[in-house]
Amino acid sequence: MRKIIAIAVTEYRSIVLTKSFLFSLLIPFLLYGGMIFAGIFLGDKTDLEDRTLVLVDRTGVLLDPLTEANKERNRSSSVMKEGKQVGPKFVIESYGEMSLPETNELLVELSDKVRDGEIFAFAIIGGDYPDPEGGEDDYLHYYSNSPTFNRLPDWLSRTVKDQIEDQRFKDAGYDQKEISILTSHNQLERFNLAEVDEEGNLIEPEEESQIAAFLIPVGLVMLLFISIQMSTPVLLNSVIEEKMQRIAEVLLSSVTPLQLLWGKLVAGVGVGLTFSTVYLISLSFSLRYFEKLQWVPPGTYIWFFIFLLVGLLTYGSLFAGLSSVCQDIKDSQNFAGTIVVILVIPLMLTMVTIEAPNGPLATTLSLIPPISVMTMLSRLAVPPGPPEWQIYFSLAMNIIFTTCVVWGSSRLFRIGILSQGKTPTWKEIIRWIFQRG
Amino acid sequence: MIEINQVTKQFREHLAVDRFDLSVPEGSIFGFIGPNGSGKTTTLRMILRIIEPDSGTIEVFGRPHHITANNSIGYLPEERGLYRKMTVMRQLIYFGKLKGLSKSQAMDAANEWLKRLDLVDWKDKKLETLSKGMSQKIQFIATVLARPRLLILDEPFTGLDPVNLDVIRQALLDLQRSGTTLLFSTHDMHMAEEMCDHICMIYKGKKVLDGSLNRIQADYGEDTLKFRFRNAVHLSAEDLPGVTHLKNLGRFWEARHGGDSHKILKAAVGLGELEHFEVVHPSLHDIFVRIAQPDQVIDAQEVDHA
Repeated sequence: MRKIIAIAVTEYRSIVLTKSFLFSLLIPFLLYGGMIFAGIFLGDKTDLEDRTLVLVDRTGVLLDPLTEANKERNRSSSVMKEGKQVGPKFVIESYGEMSLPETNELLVELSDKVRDGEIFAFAIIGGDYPDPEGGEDDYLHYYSNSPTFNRLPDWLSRTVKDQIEDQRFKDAGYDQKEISILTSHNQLERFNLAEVDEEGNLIEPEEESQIAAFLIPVGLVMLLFISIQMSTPVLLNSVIEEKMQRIAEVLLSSVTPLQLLWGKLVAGVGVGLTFSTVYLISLSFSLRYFEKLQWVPPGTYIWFFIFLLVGLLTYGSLFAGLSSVCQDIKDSQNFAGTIVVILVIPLMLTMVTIEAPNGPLATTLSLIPPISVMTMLSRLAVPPGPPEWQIYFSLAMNIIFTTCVVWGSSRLFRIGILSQGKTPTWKEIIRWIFQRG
Repeated sequence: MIEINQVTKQFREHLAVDRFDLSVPEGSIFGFIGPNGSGKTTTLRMILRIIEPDSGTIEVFGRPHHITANNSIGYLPEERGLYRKMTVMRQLIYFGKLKGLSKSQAMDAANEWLKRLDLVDWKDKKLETLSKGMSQKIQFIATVLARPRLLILDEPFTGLDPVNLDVIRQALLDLQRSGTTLLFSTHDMHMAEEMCDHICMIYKGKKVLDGSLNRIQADYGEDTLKFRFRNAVHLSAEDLPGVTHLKNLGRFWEARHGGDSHKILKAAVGLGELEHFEVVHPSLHDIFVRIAQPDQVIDAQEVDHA
């Protein structure tokens, strides 16, 4: 055991005490710190720049109501809060010419103005736009060189639509306000199930968060994936280095192949646990800061670590075992590619399993190792979670699978670590695992 | 110290070691010789349990089933291997720990050896910054750090310059004096002759020689002649009655004969200005070549002796 620990500590230090790994541990704290910093110091330094829109209104009837609606917007809480500006104001300007030029000339003239920074954007409303029957000039076009700024075009589209609808109702003899009252209602609100405490009192159902419902399972599965990806392929490089530098034979004169493999696996598990613990702590801090700790279902963290441990052992022994038969880095990349594909499949299916966590696909995948490591975790993170028997069955299957993989890898490692010459085929690898002696 | 009985190891179609027996006495310096591919490294690896024999038994320290990770055995493989990115001291502590030493014991032993081999200034340097000779000495320290009772060395002197070779040889002799048994394989017959009490030769997986150097040489008898001419002589085996093999060694000639050495002396005197003539046992090198390359021994060679 002392020798396994000595190997594990040396391997662990050689992985963790690298600049890249230490930096990866800092990332969540930088993000978390960044969010707080942004909240404290940049909260009032939002975008307050006025946006000038030149409106070419060929209908002749929309400019005034839009100007009026914009004045209201500029006084609303989205722009002014407690006497302080919190958002950008819009400035609506009419195209000044009494007689409108041809569209092409207009486009060139106004585009130049946008490019010169004189105005932010311009819009052309076709003459037939308010007509329910439409026509050749039934269009509303918005032009700018800021495609990512959506607030202005969104406001324009919404407001023009409201104005036209209002006009059409009037023309049809309906009262827009009355229709609004008759059709107004609150949006659907989603809640968790009600519960009763020990004293029989109702625990108020909490509002269900769609963000939490997807963010937490996806985040945890991603973290599991990254933790495995960060720690187990490193074992591949370590084994290859020891083979190529002829260190393996020296090591094997002091320890058994199984001790060497376990030392490496323990190091890999240690690295994975270090990485995920740091990230989970930072996640908990973030959730606590935003008062959203309840987003993570109880027990999820414990299951996360259990399935992470299983995943690290399975993939770690796969990487170590297969890399032991390779003769160089290039060879090992081919084997690594196969393992990574197995690792990526459940990640790609995460959204499907989250959407229907108790559906046949999610249930089946969550019972088949090694895919189930990630799929079961994603099911666990979506309330109310899978039936208990499925969790334990999945865990048992994974433990059996992991035991087999570690055993097979150790058999492979024992022969592969000293092998020289050509890399064996898959058939030979299987023969090595089962051969005597 | 080591008892090997009827050990066989086969790799697919290749029979690496065939019903091999070996007995290494405690406290000896045992030379394990043989041409490339004869089964030396396979045998050493089986003694260390790095690989398992297909049949036969191996005993080390009187125990038939000792574990590989035996802390009392030091092993220096033919192909040296150290971590290039690790510092010398960290590396030595690591290898010491794998031999069962505590960190402080490993550090003390490492400091002692580094001082002895004049490498103290390099202990905090990464291995990649060291020269090849220095690296070899570090590898040697890693092997002997835990004061092993048995030291197995596979070609320990390969690649060493004469100065470092002397340093390592002296360190090995000191270890042997302090009770360590040395078993080493080598191609350097001169070194084997100088250092070893016992010699075993393996050829094509089978033992072909075993015993002390004197006994081995005695078995071959005094069938070798060593002579030198003052002047240049053009010589062939036919010129010397009873000589079956003749070899030009440079300053000396070496002949193997099956007849009367006096007749050969007379013939040699008639061929040139003979200044040295000696009847000797065959050298270990010669015995090695006779066994390993029986068809390639220079036969009735005709050369000018300048």
